[in-house]
Amino acid sequence: MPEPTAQLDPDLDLLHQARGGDFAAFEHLVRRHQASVYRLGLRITGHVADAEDVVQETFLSAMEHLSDFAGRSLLSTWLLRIATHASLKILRKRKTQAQPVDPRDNPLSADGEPLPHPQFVAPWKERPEQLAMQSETRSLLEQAIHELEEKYRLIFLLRDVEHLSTEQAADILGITIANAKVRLMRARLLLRERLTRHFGDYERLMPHVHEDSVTNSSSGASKMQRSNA
Amino acid sequence: MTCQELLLSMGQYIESQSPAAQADRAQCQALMEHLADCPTCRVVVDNLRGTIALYNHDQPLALPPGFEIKLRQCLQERWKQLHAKANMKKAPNGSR
Repeated sequence: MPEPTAQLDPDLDLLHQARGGDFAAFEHLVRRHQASVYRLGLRITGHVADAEDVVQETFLSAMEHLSDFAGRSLLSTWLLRIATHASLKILRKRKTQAQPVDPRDNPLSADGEPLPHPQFVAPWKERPEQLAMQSETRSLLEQAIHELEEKYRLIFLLRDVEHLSTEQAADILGITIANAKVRLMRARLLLRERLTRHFGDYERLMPHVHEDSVTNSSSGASKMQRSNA
Repeated sequence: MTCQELLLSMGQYIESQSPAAQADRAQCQALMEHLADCPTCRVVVDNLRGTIALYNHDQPLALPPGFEIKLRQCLQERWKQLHAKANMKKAPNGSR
């Protein structure tokens, strides 16, 4: 996905006014972006009070560094970058011990590691648009995303919810693009598994899927080993 | 292409309803051949698209009302401090 540098930033006029000392223009920018910054902060930290700190920290930092914003990304992307770092700072403070290094994150092996294989495969009973209208769906979505490990939650939020490019998300998280892609796919597969167990049609459950046969080098035929056991 | 390879390479394919990814669709030939032959992967791809779509239906959350007022005050105070400093630099003789 290309960087959105060629896009005209809808915030540019307000940004110029704010840089010229117009607080009302800055406030306007805050109102425009506060909800998405809050949502991201809440989803990363999982706590309302922490999400409030993220919002405050993000806009204070943006205010103090308005002149540093070089326009290489959209202003909204820049704010999400600040918000992600503010959220991560809160998470780091919360942690009493360092996270063990996950060997799957070794950049050298990032592309070679197997992804979690889909276990529960069934078409959903309803379309996503219909499910989105149901009140219980939101809490399920929130619950599912909070069950994800932090590193998967972060990449999914930045890529699939906030629509940053893989390059931007990798840059914000300080990981390689290859790692970002693998983490994103893991995140999507884990969420798919969770949501499909809830929304899937149990009467149309697909055959159980097992690991691909590495030794089977024949082409053409389906390479999936299945078992109804 | 194996199912595992498909899972690794379908990142852009499942996003391909968005215009930005259209250019990459030409690279999806092997993937589509696998999908034509593998109903389980077709459902997995459809589930994945549904998963992303559901999170995209989500509306931004409103700030807690009490907090919004506090935020405005905090930002306004800091703005005044920053601009007072900037004005002092511009007018070192105290003519502000």
